[in-house]
Amino acid sequence: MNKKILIVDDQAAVRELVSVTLEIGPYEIMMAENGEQALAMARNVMPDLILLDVQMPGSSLDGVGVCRALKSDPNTQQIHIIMLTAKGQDWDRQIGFEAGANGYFVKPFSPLELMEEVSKVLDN
Amino acid sequence: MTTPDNSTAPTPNLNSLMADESALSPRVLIVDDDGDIRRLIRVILERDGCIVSEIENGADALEEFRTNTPDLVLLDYLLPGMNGGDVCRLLREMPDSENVPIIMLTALDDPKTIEACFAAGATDFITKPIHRVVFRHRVRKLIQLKKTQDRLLSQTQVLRQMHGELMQSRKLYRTLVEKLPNGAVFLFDQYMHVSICGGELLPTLSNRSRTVSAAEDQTALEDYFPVHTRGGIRSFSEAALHGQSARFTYEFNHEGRSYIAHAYPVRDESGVVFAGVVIVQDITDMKHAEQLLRDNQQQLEQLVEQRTEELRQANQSLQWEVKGRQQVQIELQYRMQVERLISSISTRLLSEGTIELENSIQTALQAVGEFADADRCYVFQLSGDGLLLFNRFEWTSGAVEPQIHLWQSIPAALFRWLINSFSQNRVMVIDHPERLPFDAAAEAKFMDKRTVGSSIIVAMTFEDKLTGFLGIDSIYPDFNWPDNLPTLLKIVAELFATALEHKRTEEALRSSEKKLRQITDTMLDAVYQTDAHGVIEYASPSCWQVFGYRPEDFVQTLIYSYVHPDDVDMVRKAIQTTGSAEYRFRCADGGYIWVETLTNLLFDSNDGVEGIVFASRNITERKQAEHELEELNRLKTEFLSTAAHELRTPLTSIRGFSEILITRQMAPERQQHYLKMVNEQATNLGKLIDDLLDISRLEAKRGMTLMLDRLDLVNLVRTLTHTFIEAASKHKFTFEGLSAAPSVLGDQMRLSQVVQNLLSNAVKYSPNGGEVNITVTQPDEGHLQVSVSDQGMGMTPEQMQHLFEKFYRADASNTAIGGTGLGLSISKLIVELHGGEIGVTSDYGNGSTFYFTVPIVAELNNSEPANNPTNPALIGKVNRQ
Repeated sequence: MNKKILIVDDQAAVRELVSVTLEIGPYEIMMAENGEQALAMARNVMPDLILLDVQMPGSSLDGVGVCRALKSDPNTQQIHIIMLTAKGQDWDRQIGFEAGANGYFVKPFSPLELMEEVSKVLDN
Repeated sequence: MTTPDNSTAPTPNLNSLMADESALSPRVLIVDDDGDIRRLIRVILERDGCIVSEIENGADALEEFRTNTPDLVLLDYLLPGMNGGDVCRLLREMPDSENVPIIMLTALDDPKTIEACFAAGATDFITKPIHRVVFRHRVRKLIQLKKTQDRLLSQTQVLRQMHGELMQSRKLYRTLVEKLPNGAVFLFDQYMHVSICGGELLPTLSNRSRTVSAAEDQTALEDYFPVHTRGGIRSFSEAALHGQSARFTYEFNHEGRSYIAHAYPVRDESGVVFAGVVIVQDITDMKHAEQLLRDNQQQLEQLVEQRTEELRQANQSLQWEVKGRQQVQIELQYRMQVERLISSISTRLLSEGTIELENSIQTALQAVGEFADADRCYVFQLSGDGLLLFNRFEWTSGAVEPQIHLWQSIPAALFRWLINSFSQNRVMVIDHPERLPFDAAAEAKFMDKRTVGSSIIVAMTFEDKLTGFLGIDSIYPDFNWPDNLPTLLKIVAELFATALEHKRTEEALRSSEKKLRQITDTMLDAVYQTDAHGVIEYASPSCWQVFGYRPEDFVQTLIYSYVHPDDVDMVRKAIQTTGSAEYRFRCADGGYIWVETLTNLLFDSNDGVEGIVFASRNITERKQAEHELEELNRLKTEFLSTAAHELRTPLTSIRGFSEILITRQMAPERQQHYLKMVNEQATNLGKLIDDLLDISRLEAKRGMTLMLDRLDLVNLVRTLTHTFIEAASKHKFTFEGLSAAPSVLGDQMRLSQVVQNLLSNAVKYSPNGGEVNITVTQPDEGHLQVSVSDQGMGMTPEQMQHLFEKFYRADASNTAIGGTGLGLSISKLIVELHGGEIGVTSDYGNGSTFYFTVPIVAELNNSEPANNPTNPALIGKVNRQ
């Protein structure tokens, strides 16, 4: 069975970019465009990996909030979460890791590197 | 033994005794050896209620009698063994047997036997065979007799006992009466006959030999008394007998002694008077004692009188003493006056400070002069260098002319003798100018010139240095000064010296302070000085320029009350440490200014903080500039970090898709699609950069140049709307503008930017088309308002709240609605720079209305320079901060 990946980003262009990046792998791709949607889908589908944007204006729950919620729930805390965000400052990373994120990718990112990281996580 | 013992038994009552006897059945003892006879007798007697005991022989009979004494014994004469006569004799020998009747029963009817029976003690004699009736009657009679006898015996015993007791008590009474000490008692009957009398006084009163028994005598009561008292005794005793009153007294004298007689009525049980008692007492000793008491009292009175006289004399001598004391008192008062004088002088000098000093010294001189009855009192003061003498103060009595004006700037050397003398003796008493020594010629001349007869001059010194002298003059030689005047003068001189020296020091200080103040007064900084607690004691005139406080209002207030509450602690700390601080200070207009203050602690001689000197400079403008710079810096940093984030978003697409295009093989259509996206995002990026630059320029404000000009806003908006109608085919545009609207002062390009932004938003957020209404109105006298309404999706209150924030997009996830999220922020900045307002009303789901206002340019001010670089409103705003 293919590993499931949930892409969370408010920007359609980014969602498309990430899905295009990952389409060459044996993955089942799902997408959410805000925090609430992401949380609901994560709980329903139980993806193996979430690529999570942090800043999602118009959503009451940002990426850090989603990460924290999933990591504090015993049912979902095993899900691998990689933050995929334009917030590249040191403290941004720290906030992400403190929320429980497993990896951190800063936009603009290299699709090749992202692909490598994803396969490293999911194929082992 | 059951022998009754009357001596110890309780006295029986006669009645009860008889009742007891009758209640008891008589007990009969039958002694007979013939059982038939016993039975016969028993039957007869029991019928009569007797209790019968049967005994067969004499020995048993004795035993029975002893243990249970019967009331009657029936004794057979012929008994086996001991015969009846013997038994009877033995019975009669037993105690208590004499009253028990013993009846002998015998068949022997001979006189010898009968005689023997009675000789043995028998009571009666009955012959056998027994005649029933005779027997019954005889026995009954004997029993009755026995009972009566018993009763009588008992009664006699009781009576005897009572009589004995009576005799006993009578004896007691009699002894009492006879022995009545120092008195006599008479009990008399209704006939005034004495029944009983007695007492030690009896012989003295009546000359009769001792007690006379009433029964024997029947003497009348009065006969017991001396002849001259008999009438009195009789009448007063009779009164007692009448018993109206309980008690009568009668006093009389007899043979040199005094007596008092009391009479009491004696009543029987029913309260009837049947006798009287007279008691006589010898009261001679008592009277004597009374007399003694009276004598003593008299003596006492005499003594009191004597004492009073002594007291009077003592009082007189006391009065003499008081007079003597008054003398002392006067002296004391005089001394007190001196002390009060000194204390009043010293308090005046101490409390009133240097300003009132001259008046105080003048008053003190007068007080001392009047006290000493002098004609002149004066003070000479040496100059600081000790070369000249000045007559500083003078008081004169009126007998001499004031000369103070004559004695100024006198060379001290002139009074060489006096000044030299002071080193040995601080007090110079001069009785007569002619008695001054030869080398005191100048002083003698001085005194002569001042018409002085006698004088006392006292040195004034301060810290062992001569500072002048105090003098007191009288026109009379050998003037009789008050005893302690020299001492008083010495003290006053010391007080004056100290006070004057303080004044001198203070004057020196004041002159240097004056110089200092002249410096501070001319400074631009506010200079003020407080005490250790921060109470302002001095404020320079510049406090008015700097704070708006007049120095006189500023002093006596607490410096910390002006310091901004948040800064007080810091200021206090700075005063103690660095001596410099920047803080907010409340000015007279109630507003705060920033001050930079340098402080300096002033120490007293004990190294304690005595005060604080402050120098404050207004640095509000500098602070404001600093603050603005800081704010600008903060905004720049914040803006840069937000901008960087926003720039990364299109870059992500550009970098990501281009990398995929480079590294992957794919269909040309897909390639085309991604390339288009890259291009789109690159365009977006360019727009974003433009907006960012725009906004940073607008926010920098000062770097921003609005090209202000008089504009026809209605026309401008109309033109812009028309260009939009051509671009957006889905929407229906309506325009409504004021005709002949006043001009506004604005930057045409910037205002166009705002209108275009609002129009494009209206189109963007009503994607399904609908009407877009544009109006230009004049809501108030000073403004024109441009409103743009759409029939789009509208906004929630939450969305409206963030609407004008940078990079906020109401529906960011909707990529169909593009934009940088900076349009409304830029519009807001532009409108506010024009001095207008921007706002929105919205009904979620039913569209929104955006509006902004622009100030109308006043017609009279149309000559104002068209390209004024900054808006007047802007200037006002800066100044308000």
